[in-house]
Amino acid sequence: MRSLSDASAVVGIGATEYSKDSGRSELSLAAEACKAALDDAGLTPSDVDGMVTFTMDGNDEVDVARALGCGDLDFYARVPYGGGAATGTLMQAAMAVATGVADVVVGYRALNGRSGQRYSAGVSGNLITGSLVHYGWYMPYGLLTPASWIAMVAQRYLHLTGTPREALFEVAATSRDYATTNPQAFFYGKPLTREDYDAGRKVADPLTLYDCCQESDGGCAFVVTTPERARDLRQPAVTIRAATQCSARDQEEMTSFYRDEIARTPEMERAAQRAYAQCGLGPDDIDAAVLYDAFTPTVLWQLESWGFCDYGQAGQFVLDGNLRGDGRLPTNTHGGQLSEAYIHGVNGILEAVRLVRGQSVNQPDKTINNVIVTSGSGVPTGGAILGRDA
Amino acid sequence: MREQTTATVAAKDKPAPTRIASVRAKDNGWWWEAVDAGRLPIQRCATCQTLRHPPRPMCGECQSTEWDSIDSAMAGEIVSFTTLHYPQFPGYPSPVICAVIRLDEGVNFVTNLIDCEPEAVAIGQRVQGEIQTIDAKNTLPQFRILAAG
Ligand SMILES: [Zn+2]
Repeated sequence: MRSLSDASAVVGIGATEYSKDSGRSELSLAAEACKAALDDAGLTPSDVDGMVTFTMDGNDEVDVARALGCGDLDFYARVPYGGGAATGTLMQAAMAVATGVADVVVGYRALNGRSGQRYSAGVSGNLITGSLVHYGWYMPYGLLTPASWIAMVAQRYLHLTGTPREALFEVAATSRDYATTNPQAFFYGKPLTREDYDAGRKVADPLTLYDCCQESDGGCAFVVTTPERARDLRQPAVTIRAATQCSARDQEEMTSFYRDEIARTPEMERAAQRAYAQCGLGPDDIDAAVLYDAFTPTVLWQLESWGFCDYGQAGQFVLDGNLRGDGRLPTNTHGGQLSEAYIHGVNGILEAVRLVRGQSVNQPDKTINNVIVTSGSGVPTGGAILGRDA
Repeated sequence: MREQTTATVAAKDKPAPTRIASVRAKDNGWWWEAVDAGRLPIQRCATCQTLRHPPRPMCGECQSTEWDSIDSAMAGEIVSFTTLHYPQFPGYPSPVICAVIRLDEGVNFVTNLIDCEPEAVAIGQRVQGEIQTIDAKNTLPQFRILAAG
């Protein structure tokens, strides 16, 4: 067998509260999220022999393991490129389990993203990630923030495709409507009107306030093990059908401005194609999605990359209501990072697991066999397909 | 008047904030030194003549590590742009307009658009650049929109 497909399963998910000021250390958030994920699975810290997180995470694997009371670790890995790491952690865990390098891998991400280092504060002074030389091509001109880098791509995408602003509002409003019924969400009980959206302050044209995700404090974790072991645990097993990491030619971190066409994300197109090829599924087999939504336009690009519509058609796809609970592809049913919390995409992995289990607070009224979950756009990225255990 | 005086004294005590300058390392230092000297160079493979920007130590087409450079005429076309409103950073104008320019030599370049209103900018417009001393730490290529026709 030379395939990652169905060779591992997600058996536990856990999260802390999401807030704007956790009042505690990131290590405390990480340990609590991991413990909650192990409890959910019916496993204990002594079962864990592998750990994976983001290079941007402030918590060393061994520190989390020691806080939890894990024993020996045989696998630890980190995935780079900011939110591009999200489903990469799932892929690393799946590879470790599929190859027998480890048996029970915990993936985690915990950050004080609002009360601590805020990404919107830009790469000035205290560089978040990446090399000084790379950002030196952008910082002197004022391109300092994730919003500024994505805006450059979004402006051209809207220009080339004629996508109306209504489509961006629909992405924001859909996520907000889902959040209104999710008690974990920052925007629980707070819908977004068109007037609110239009009144949002300008950030980086064409992005305004409600095109941008939140900054949040919180931690999320998941547990991956073998399909065999998964069947004996507390929750219904969620199979990792596919998981990919991809960068594409002439890739930079957030600033791939030198390609022949900059209004595309070939790394996500490749991540999707590779994921479908891994498991033999296609867009028609996907019942719901969790698409990394740091900014509203990136949801449109991913719908195209994953084959739900052609290039330039995603605006109409969302305006037709397809992201809604009764639509073709219920998307970001937890409220996404726009409206639930920004835990760097790992809260999205948790929601994808809930959708397959039938446990989302906004569970669509249909059978969910396969769910897509993705990493960030504009960076080396990736995606995964989670499914019901056969 | 009194307030103005106080502000002047405070400004003398503390240097004016500058934009964040690029570090100058082994692969990019020569490029910034050329800009300091009033030029916008584009790195060129000495073996296959392929242009590349930003500079890097090897040609991605032929893997040659031999290179020289040409000076751009700083003429080009707007590929995309964004006007930055929030947050405002000390040392930068607000709003500030950033753009990806396709230089006529055939490589893309990230820069600022100056002396124009954000509403006047459009993808596809022709632009012309010049080297400007911005502040105590930054000398940068800056571009203006050329009148249509
Ligand atoms: Zn060459």
